[in-house]
Amino acid sequence: MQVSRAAANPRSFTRRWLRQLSLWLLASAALAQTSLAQTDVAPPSVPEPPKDESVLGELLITGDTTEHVTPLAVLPSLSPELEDVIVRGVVRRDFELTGMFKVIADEQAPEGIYGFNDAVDIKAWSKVGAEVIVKVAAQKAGPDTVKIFGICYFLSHGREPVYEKTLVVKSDQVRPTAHRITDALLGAITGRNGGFSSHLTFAAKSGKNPSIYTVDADGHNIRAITPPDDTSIAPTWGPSGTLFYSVSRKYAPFKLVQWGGTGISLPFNTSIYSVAFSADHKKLAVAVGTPVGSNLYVGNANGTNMQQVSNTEVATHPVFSPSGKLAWIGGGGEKIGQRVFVDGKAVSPPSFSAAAPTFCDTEDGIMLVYAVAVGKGQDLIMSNETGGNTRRITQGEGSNSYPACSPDGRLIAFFSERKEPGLYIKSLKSGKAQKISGRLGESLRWAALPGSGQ
Amino acid sequence: MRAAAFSAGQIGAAAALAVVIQGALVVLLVASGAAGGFTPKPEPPPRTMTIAVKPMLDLPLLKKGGKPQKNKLPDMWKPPQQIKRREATKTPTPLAPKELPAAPKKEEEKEKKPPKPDEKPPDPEAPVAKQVDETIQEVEKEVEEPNLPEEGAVDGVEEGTEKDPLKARAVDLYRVKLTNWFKQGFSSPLDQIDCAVLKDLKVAVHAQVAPDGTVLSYDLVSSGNATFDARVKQVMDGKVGQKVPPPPPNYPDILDAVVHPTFQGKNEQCK
Repeated sequence: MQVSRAAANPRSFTRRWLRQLSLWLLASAALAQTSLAQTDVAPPSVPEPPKDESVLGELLITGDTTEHVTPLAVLPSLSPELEDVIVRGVVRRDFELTGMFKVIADEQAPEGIYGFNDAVDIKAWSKVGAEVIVKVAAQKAGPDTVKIFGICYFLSHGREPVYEKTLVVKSDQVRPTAHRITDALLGAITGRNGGFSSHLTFAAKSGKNPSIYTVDADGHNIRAITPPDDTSIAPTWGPSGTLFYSVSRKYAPFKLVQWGGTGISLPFNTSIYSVAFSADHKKLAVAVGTPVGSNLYVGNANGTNMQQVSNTEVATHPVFSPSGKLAWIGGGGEKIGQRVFVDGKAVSPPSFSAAAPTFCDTEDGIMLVYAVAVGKGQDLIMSNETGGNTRRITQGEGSNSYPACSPDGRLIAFFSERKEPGLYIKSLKSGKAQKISGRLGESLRWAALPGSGQ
Repeated sequence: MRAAAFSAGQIGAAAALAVVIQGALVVLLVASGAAGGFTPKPEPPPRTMTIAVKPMLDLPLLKKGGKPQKNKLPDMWKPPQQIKRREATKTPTPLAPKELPAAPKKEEEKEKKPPKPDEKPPDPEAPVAKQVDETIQEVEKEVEEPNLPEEGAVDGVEEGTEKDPLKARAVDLYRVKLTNWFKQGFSSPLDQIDCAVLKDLKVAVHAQVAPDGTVLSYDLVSSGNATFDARVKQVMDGKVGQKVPPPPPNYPDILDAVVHPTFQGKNEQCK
């Protein structure tokens, strides 16, 4: 005889039945609550945003990340004059180095005469995709003077140029003037002047000892300026384009000297390892040797009123930010390692040994850039002025060290021991790195030429 | 004969319990109804308020115009060009084969017979084609720039006031920079909101910015979707205290005290 399970165990069946009933009641109650809740909430009304009357207007933000790179043409030149060839070559290369534009290749240039006074065929250039046209030219203005001009057209604006700059300079100033023309044209196109009218300095071995080198922003005119018998280190640019560095002769302590000048008298007898001037050239920071390491002192640019600002065993490589903050490398002892300090506070990651800080006045604000030890080499790191929002600038491309920023904050120069070692500059906009010299060195600094407007 | 599954007492107890619970639910529903239920909030009475009016001195919009030529009358007003209506074209039937049948070979294309041994080669100077199309020289019409009574840009707009194309471009570039800055950390919640709904969502933000570029605070106009609003709020909370990119040094005055980013759900994946 078969007996059902319920009949066999009526108590468990009752329990199950009651459980189902309670679940049904709970579901009903939940449904009722939901319907009540829905009646409580009125549909949200979306008010129209007020009409925008600001200069910038409404900024439409979507999840897409696309950026327009402006196609730019630098007009070719068929002029046989050397000055014209130099100016055009310099300006074109500068625009390529910025990484901000898609510079249209010369092969794509429409047919034309391209003389000094010839009109620009706007229509033909718009057909090859140019949005901005730059015309630069140079011709002799006198026996020892050259007239250089740069013109800029926005194709959307019509045939009339939107910007013109003409300079008459001495014949030996053609190259620096071409950089100045580029900077002015960049200012017209972007609202921020370029930084090519500038120069770099660094220390590198020349024979047995390190010497001080200088080089133009595009890698041209590289030369050692100190005697090979001296041990010259840590150069920096001072007021009016003057050059300061530390020098030791015959194992004597390092002294701060000025190239071609009288220098600054400092109240220290021990070695001066590095030096920095503030952006307004009113303050001076020096790293002074101690029996166990070095201390950092800050005072007036003439060397007076020097006050100690560091309290670590080692403090070196000072650098001022455009806003007046002071960064340096501090540390001591094997456990602590070296970190970047900004106004006395360590800002670099504690687990990485840091070196060579510098500040960049970029389009996104003032940034702190420094090198950190990664594996057997170094890589470059960028953060905001106080160390936040860290991001990497180089990775997987050999050892990269001693960063320096262009005066306009668009480019970073550094020494790289990658497949083709040398001095590189990298566009912060495009991330493209280009080699400008095959020389390696240390303590790289970059500053505007006097009178360049930066 | 099968034994009864439940005793009369068990059935009675279950029924009584069910009646009590259902009754309690009915009492709750009646009580909520008696309390008034949902009553829409009355419209707040209109109140007077003062608003700051900013004079529009330097709007970035380029002014439409040209370079006035003193010795020439302005161009005549021309009506805007009509947009050409799209020509209706025949669409192929879906039943049509995807590959076209091979066209029958023309007589000229038919296999040529090999030349006979006594046949002379053709004169190299003789024309090969029977008929040659005439070469049409491309004549490009010289486009004259419009001579308008007011100075401005060809690509400007009627309501524009900014006559400096360099400043107008600098403002454009700075707008892109600010947009990218606000965009950092924002992504449309495609995984949470259906694309059909998301594409119409929009949150207008009014961010107060200090003279040094620090975002002080913000208020937002809701999109009506809590998930999308929360996403925008999360992004904007992260921006407070941070500095927006500085304006270009040549035009330091273009950063306003209030910046108006509008976050949209519409994007490439969800148009």
